[in-house]
Amino acid sequence: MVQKNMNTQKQEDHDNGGGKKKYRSLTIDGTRYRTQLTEKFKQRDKWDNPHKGKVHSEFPGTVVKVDVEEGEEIEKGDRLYIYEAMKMKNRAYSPVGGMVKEVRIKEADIIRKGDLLFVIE
Amino acid sequence: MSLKRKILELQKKREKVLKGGGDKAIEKQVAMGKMTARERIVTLLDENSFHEYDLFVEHEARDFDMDKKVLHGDGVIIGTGTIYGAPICVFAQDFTVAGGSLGLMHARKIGKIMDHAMKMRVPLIGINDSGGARIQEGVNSLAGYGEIFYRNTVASGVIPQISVILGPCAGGAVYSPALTDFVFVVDQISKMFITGPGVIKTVLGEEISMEELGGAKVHSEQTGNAHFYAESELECFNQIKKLVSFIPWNNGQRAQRMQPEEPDSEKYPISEIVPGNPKEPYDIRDVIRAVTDGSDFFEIQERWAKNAVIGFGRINGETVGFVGNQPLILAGVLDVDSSDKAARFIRFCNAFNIPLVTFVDLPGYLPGVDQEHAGVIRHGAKILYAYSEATVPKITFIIRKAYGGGYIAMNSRHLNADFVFAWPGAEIAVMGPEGAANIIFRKEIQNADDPDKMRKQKIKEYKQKFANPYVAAAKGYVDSVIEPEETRKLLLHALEVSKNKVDKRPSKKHGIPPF
Repeated sequence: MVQKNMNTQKQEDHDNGGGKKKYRSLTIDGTRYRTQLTEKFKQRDKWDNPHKGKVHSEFPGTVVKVDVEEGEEIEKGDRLYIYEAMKMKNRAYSPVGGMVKEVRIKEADIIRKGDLLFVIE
Repeated sequence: MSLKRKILELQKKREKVLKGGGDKAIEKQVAMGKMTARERIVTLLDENSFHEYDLFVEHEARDFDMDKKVLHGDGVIIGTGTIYGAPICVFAQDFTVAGGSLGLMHARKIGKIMDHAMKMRVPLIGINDSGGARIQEGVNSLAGYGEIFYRNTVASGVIPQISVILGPCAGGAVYSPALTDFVFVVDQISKMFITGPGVIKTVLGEEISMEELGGAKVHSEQTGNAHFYAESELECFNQIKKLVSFIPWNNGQRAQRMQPEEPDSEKYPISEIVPGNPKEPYDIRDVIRAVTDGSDFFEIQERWAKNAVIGFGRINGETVGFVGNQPLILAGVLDVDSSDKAARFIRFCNAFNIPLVTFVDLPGYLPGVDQEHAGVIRHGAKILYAYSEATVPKITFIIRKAYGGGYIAMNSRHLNADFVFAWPGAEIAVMGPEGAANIIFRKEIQNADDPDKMRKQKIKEYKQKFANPYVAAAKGYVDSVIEPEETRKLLLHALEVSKNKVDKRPSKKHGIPPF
């Protein structure tokens, strides 16, 4: 199968009614179509290759305890932090082993889903 | 006591209860730019058609000093009436009475009118304006919600259910509208969310207003939870009336027939709307308007997933459901949202005996990591399921592009369409000429002295040979290649001869659609 490629380019045009309509181009299977884009499409999440040593929060909550310090060597599966969310104390474990390069949270911090919390190398 | 005095007593009692939460609360309601619950019902229904029941219902809560409180009608109004003569069951939550909060008796009243709608097989309209569960009534409130959800589900596909959000509708309460067929919202008035700004701020530290979190624009443009958006309550009621005119009273009937009318062919000249070049955009709604009675097209979810267009129109006086790709937006691709939107509409039409007419012009499914990871396989499958499942008359017009999976999905012959017509400019192929030529003639192009020239030549060859309606017509996948001008005539005919369509499927408890 050929890789589907898609890119968009700026193009402006006037519609028949005299009002200004902004057209872009959208390429699908090698063909460039003149069309309008939606806000949702423009704001879609760009693909970012996940880095296993970058630990993001899984759930919004409040940090209760941080178990590791910068510079510390840890093993895969070691507990990283405890956070309270939905009236529960939840535990989060390291997906990789290595040296803790960065700790970006402390006790009582409010974290959102997807926040970068630790960098492990 | 003489009967006369008893009548006077009744009148007095009525007068008191009809004031709902009293003058002060009504003033507040008006200050918020909202009509009162009774005004809403009266404005929505045919003049003098509304009759209210359970006016004297009172709550039975005893905890937290609730026994000292009088809540007229327990914060909800129920009754029957008509819209353009069609019988309707209606309830409206009264925000002036304890913030329209839902207690046991409140929920029982709603359940009662829902049961009534089901027995009488007539549409149900619910007007939501409530602060949520009445906390003092505890688990009784939860029971109330659950019993409403259950009834919504049982009634689904039997009677049309319409939800109108004219105030807050928060927490569990949102799931009743979500289970119904059409949700109406009004700018600055409607607010729907599971957890409100307060909780979000406490838990996440994110500050957001109710309007930004779950206002009318959010639900009609971003989430797709709402089907109709209006600037005012009055506009909203007119939309509801129009919708009711298009749909049948129940799943055993057809929609009311109206006086047929010719389309406005001067404003919508069907042969001139679609550009010959398949890369150029146009508004598919103009094609729909070029064939519908009076060029009237009543669009649903016009602000969300705009790359697919859905809505009702009439052909020869009878309601038809239209589904079309919209080349104006995202080239008309199918994606997660547009598949979802079209699939649900198709299932509504099938449940209520409304024939489906599909206009096809799409390059396929939208490529992208975000789409794949958002589950375009699962969501895209919904549209295949919905079309395949539908047994109402299914008529397809391939206007221009019909490539790949998009061709199959858009009510193709292979999903058991009854009629498939193609315009002469139709390109029915496994993919667009550029993509196809690049794969099929890869070696020739690579080895050519001038690869660019060879590519162009091969694209041209492919276009001539395959990007047309005749390959599919030769296999019988397309029934007829027609001139654009013949579209309405054929549509009329196809609908006429499909009136007694029988499509019996194996009996089953229910299918398992990919949702």
